[in-house]
Amino acid sequence: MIAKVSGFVVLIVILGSAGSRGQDAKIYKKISVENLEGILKGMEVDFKKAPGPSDKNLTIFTFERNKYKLALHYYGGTDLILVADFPAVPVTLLNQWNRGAKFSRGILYQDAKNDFSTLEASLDVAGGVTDDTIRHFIRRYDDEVKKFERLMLRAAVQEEEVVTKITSERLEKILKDMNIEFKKVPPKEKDVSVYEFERDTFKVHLRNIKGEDLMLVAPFKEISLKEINQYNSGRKFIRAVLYEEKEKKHTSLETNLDCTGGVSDRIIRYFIGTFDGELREFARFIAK
Amino acid sequence: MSPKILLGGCILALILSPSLCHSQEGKKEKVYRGLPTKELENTLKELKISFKKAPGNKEGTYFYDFERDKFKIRLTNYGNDLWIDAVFPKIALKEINRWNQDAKFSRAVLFKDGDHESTSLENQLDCRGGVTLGMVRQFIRRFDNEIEAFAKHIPTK
Repeated sequence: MIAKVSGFVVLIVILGSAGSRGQDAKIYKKISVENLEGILKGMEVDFKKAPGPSDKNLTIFTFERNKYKLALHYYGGTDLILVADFPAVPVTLLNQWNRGAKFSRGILYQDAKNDFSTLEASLDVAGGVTDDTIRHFIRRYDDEVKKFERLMLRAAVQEEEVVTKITSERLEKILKDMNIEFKKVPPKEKDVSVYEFERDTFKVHLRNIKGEDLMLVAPFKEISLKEINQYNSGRKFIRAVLYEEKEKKHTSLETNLDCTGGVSDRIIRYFIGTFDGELREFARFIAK
Repeated sequence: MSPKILLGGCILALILSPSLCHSQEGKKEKVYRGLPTKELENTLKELKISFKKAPGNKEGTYFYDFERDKFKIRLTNYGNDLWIDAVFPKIALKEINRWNQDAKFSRAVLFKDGDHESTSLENQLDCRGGVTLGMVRQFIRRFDNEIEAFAKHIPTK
C-alpha cells in the first residue's frame, strides 16, 4: 500500500512539474526569424539562410540532417514547411505514401527541364506553438524522410536512356539545363574536355576524360596529410588529395563517375549536383 | 588492298557500328535508385563471384565477402550505396596520398582498429541518384585492377 501511495505521489509530482513547464512555455502564434534561428542552433543545425526567390514573405533555411538535404520554408512567421527533394517516382507510389502518411505528403513536380519528387510537411504556427512543437516537428520529419526514402528505393526503378560514352554536346546540355554557367578551358591532355564553373563561390573543374570518365575537382588550401586521411575516413564518394606543384601545395577535393558501365543524364546531374554538398562539407572541415 | 582484307574491314565496321551508335545515342535501360539485394546478388553470380553473405548491423545492410585473385574483398550494400574494400598493411600517409593522386576509382585510407593500423583500399558507388547494373558490374570489375595496382604500389620492406 505504501509503495502504491508513494508511486501515486511520484506520478503527481511528475505530472505537476510537466504541467507547470507547459504553462511556462512561450506560445507563439507568429515566430520571428531570430527565434527560429535560435531553435535551429539549439538543435545544432548548421543552416544557410536565403530569401525566397519570388515571395517577399518567404525565407528558406537549408541544412543537412542524417545526410539528407532539407529546406525549411519560413512564411512570414505563421507557416513552416519542411521540404526534401527526391528523384522523380511514379505518382502511384506517391499516392501510396500519401494514403498512409499522417505528417507529410509526397509530391511530383514536372517541368520542361527536370522532374523530381518532394516530401513536404507543414506546421501551422498561427494556431499557437512552442519551441518544443517546432523541435518535435523537425525531429519527426527526420523519421518521415527515412521512411519515405525506403519506400522510394523499393519501387524506384525507371527505364532511362543510358549511354556509355559522354559526348561534349550531351555534357554541355546537362550543365545548361542545371543553369550552370561554364567556361571551356583548354585541356592539357588529349581527349579531355575541361569545364570551369563556380558553385556557391567554389571554383570547380569538370573533366570529361575520353567520354568515359567524368571527374570533378575543386582546389582548397593546403592541410596536413593526417587531416586529409581523417577526412577521407569519414566521408564516402570523394577523396581529398594533397598536391605539390612548383613547391606550392594545395588540397584537392575530387570525385569520379565511371561512365563505361552506362549512365543516364539523371545520374550525371546527380553526380554534379551532390558535389555542392561535398564542397560545403570540406570547407567546413578545413575552417575548423 | 586485297579483297579479303577489304571484306574483313567491311564486316568489322558493320559489327562495330551498332555498338558505337548505342554507346553515344543511348538505349533504354533500367535505372535503380538504391540497389535491391536480388539485383546485386544476380550481378555477382553473373560475374562468377562466389560470396559469403552476412547481415550488417543496420536493417537492410548486407556484407558480401569474396576472394578475387587471392585478395580478400568485402562488398557492402547499404541500399543507398555500395562500398567495396580490401585491407592491406599500414603504409605511410605520404604513400597513401601518392596513390590517391593517381587513382580515380579508389582511394586509400589509413585506419586504426584498436592498436592496429591498416590501409584500406576502397571505393563507393552512390546509388541514390540512380545506378545501372552495368555501373555495378564495372564498379566490381574495376576494383580488381585497382587492387592489383595497389599491391604493386605498396613499398616492399
